Amino acid sequence: MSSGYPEILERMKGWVDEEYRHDFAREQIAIGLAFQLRHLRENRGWTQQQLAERTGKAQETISQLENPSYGRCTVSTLAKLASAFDVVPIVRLAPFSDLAEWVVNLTPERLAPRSFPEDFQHTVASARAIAVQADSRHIGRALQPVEDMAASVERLPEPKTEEELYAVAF
Amino acid sequence: MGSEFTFYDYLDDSEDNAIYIWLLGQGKRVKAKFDSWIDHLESTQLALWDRPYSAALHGECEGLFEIRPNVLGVEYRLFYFHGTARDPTLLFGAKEKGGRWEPLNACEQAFNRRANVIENPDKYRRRHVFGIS
Repeated sequence: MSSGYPEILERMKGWVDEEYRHDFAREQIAIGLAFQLRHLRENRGWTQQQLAERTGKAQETISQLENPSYGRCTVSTLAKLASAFDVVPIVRLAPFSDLAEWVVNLTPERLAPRSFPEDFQHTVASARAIAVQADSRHIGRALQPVEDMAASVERLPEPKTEEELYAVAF
Repeated sequence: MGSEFTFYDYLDDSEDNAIYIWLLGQGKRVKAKFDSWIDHLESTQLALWDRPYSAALHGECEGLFEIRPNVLGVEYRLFYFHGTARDPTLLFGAKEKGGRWEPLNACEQAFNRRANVIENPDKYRRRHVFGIS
């Protein structure tokens, strides 16, 4: 079960000091990217060399990016990494409550997000479960639209093969 | 779903949080870095608790582990030990310079604190304090 507002508020209470909270945010970027990169790579069963080939980078660069002290990943490199993993790089300015929600709900699953095809299927499954519940309470005919949409899952491309990933041009 | 692990801070005989006091004494940036690293360690499986984030200590410090960030060229260390559950306790803060601890008896002090925690965990430890209260 995910943590809610009490945990988020508790965390934000510790961020009243402006200097501290901005230091913390910077550290979250540094360790967050390095940690997530390694977590994702190992979750996919890839070596640094394999990830390097999929992003057009040198293995040494991947090693640097996985070092939390490095801290010099560009948005362009982030986009290449995201493409290799078939996930989205979210780069935006946000309120601190967003960061609090992220850190209090950090899990291995969130650190290693699903690729798009897996994510789509997971989302359909979740929508189907909610629709079944709604229909059982006679709220409406919720399931049929979900089933119609689920049919499109069959037409989704399979996760990229290694050959296709190598062929990705940036 | 939730955190895989929960870090605790060592409390001294007066029930003051020795880890919080040490971290704040090193500066807000050091506190922020450790907090951020602890967040991530708590949220993942033990297999990823290795360098550069964490390491097992050897020799006279065998049985202890360390969280090991570098902040502005200084090697900071927080010693911890694993309990029987998923609840590691942060015991002692030190710096590493040229292969030596500052203070020199850092491991000895950590072991003394570990004995207190094992004997009376309710008195000598509390959930890690994130942020500045």
